[in-house]
Amino acid sequence: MKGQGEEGWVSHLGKIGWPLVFILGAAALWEVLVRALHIPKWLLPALSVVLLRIGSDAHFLGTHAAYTLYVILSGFLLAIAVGVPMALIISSWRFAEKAVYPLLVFSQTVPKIAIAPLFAIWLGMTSLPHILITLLISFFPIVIDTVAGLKSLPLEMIHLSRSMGTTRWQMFRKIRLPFALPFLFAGLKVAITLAVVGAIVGEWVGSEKGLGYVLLLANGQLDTALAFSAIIVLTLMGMGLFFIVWILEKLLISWHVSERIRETEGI
Amino acid sequence: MTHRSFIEIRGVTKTYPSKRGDVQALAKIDFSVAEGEFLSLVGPSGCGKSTLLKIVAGLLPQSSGQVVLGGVKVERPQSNIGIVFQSPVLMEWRNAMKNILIQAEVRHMDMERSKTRAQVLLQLVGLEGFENHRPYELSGGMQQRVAICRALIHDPPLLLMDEPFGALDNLSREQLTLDFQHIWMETRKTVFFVTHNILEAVFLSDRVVGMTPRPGGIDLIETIDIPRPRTWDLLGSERFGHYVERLRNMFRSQGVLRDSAEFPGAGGKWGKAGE
Repeated sequence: MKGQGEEGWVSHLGKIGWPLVFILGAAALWEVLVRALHIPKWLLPALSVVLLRIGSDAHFLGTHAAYTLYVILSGFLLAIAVGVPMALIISSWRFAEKAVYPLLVFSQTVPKIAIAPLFAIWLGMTSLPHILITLLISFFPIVIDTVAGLKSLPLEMIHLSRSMGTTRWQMFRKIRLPFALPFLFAGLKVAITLAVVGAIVGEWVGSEKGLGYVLLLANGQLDTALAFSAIIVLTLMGMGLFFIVWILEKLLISWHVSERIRETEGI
Repeated sequence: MTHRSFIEIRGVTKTYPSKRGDVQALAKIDFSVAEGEFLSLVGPSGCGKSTLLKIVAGLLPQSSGQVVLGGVKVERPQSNIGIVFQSPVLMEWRNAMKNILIQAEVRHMDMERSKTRAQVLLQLVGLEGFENHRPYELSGGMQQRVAICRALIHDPPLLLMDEPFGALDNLSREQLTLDFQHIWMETRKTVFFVTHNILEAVFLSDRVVGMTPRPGGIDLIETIDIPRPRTWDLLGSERFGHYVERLRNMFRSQGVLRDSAEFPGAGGKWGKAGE
């Protein structure tokens, strides 16, 4: 009994415990080293200072975080709205693949940070350029992965559905789409992390709101504690968003191999 | 066969264009399958037997000749058929019952009645109680049984099967062959069965069509005159052996099967066979 209890405790620790222990250890090291070595606050503030700052500036950080969250979500949702139909078009017509793919690669290789100022000029000091940059950075993996999913349907599945007399729409709705979902989610997970980057890049180019703006402000004033505060809030936000996509994936494609390994391995 | 023919294959050929010139997959093929007949197509791999099945299903156009199904010329994918492939081709995201019912959904059949019928079919293949299992929770043999149910749910007059037991282990294969005989006796559908397994073909069929290697043509047609239900005890019987031997001889004369003495190098001296 005792042995089992210990094993349970160890495996429990393995799941969430070890990363937590690691993070806490790193945090303690940070705190101790900064204090022991008397590192100046503008160079690297102690963790406790940063955490207190997050507490005291909670409202300020919250307002800007809300704006950045709005930019991330708008850009990400638009990326889905643009990416999935584009994937459909690319996977349906050979001609479209040849015509659109090079453009797609071009849109991805052109440095977003370089064209961001143009968006700011064209669209003004609204949230539009920020959302657009986010969209531009995050839609690529969605398109690529969804195309891969739509195109990897086995030939026998296509033959089967023809023998059933499926219409184009039935074929898409009942076979192609569910088959491509795991691929789509692989793309969404990459896209959501990129969307966070996109929003910050967008804000850096010209904004009076958002955590990207707070970061620029803090750097300009050598307010390193504030910079760290913004980074921590941003990171937590990114992790939370990733977690939501991950949960959605678990709910929607529980049947897929990638979700199943856990069950069969019994971990 | 005294029945009227259900499938008529008239002078069908198939040529694939390729970089090294045209490849002829099927030479002129002529035969028909009677209504309610169980016909197997046996041939070495690459002889075009699966190609012929796809042409019959309307999934692949022939290069010349024509196929008539139930009096109608095949010009597009046929939907009045049930089809089973070597792999079960189940939808991972649907459980066994829903995998069978996709056929009914797509065809806008009465769902309540289809469900009852699916239940009966599952019982027939020995999968009672597995309705809610996902494909990954079923063995290969069980998955293939689900695929067979899916091919039967809409009660098609014709069943096309492309090496349906080819990917199974020997034990599952033996059992499923036996069970499928039972299903066929219950339903008496016209079956067009493609395989490279002689035993399976003789065991199940009314007639076996032996094919030549590429380009595929008909080598011999053998009528299997053994009463049903047949059991695997037949394996040792003279009658069964006679049919199997005739088909094996066909493969020998094609050079697909060779006696070990003729095998190059088998005599111990390299190059001996070439002289």
